[in-house]
Amino acid sequence: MHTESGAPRERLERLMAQVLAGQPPRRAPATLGDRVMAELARRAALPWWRRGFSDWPLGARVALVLALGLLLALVLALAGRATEGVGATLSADVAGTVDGWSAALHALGSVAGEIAGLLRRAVPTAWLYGCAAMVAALYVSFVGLGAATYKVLQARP
Amino acid sequence: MQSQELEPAAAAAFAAFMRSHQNAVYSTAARLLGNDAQAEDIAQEVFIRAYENFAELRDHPTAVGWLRTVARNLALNHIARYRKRWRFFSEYRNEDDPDDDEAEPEFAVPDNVLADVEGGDRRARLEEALRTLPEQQRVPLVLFHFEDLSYAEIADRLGIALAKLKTDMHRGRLALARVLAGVEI
Repeated sequence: MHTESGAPRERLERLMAQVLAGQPPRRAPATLGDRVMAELARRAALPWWRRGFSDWPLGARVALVLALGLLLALVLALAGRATEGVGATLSADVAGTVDGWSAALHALGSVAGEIAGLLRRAVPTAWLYGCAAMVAALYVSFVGLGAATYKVLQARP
Repeated sequence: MQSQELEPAAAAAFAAFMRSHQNAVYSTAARLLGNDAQAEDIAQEVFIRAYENFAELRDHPTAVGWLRTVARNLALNHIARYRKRWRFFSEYRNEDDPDDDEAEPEFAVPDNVLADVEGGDRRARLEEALRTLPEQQRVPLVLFHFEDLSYAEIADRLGIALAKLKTDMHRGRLALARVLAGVEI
């Protein structure tokens, strides 16, 4: 028997394709047909409410959708009534909180604007650009480092 | 969805339809799963779905393609659901496992490997060898050689790297070639 040292992938692939193409289909068990028909009969014998929703009679499907709609409306109405008194108090509290936060944000904005103006006057523009470039470079480095760490850790769990 | 009432005429027509295609469906499932009992369960589910679509399928020329696609998808879903660890081990090399070395396994494929391959005994041995291959080798080989999917489609469907897929398939082919050459695996 002549053999070839080493087996080039393409040659082996061709050989196996030729061999496997000649394989006949597997013979299904003789019981398969009976099993399928028995299962179909079992499912057909189930009462409609134990089948999937799409197999329900049209009337039952419509009735269920209507009932669910009514239930949802009832829950919303009850929830609205239960929170009726609470709503006014809650609104006043929320409005007060929003006003407070708005004033604080406005003050912070003013301070940030004054600091920015001061920096513009005191620091040369080139320095500002340099700082911005350094921050961007550090950001990219940390993102890259994080991605590399994630890949290494995921590859070797 | 069609109502599942079993009328005698429809049941007889469906039984004939099933007899015509059951070997193709069962083959797809059995070769992918490597387990005859699970393959029968999958084939049963395929034909139940076929019954629900029987009105469209019964005279359709590509019905067998539809059946095999459903069988393939159900079998692959079954594998993904119950054997997720396979993908994990297939995707990442285990440095401690000598069998997972990237070097080509040593085996010279004989030139006359196809001699006598027509024999029924050889076919049965090949089928058995395919069944006992590791899942990460058997599933891509079946998808490539029996289901006519390309390497890229298989890698995409199984969610594994193309290079790893080719290595697994090459090892599977070598194992099958050993069986054909009469070498124990």
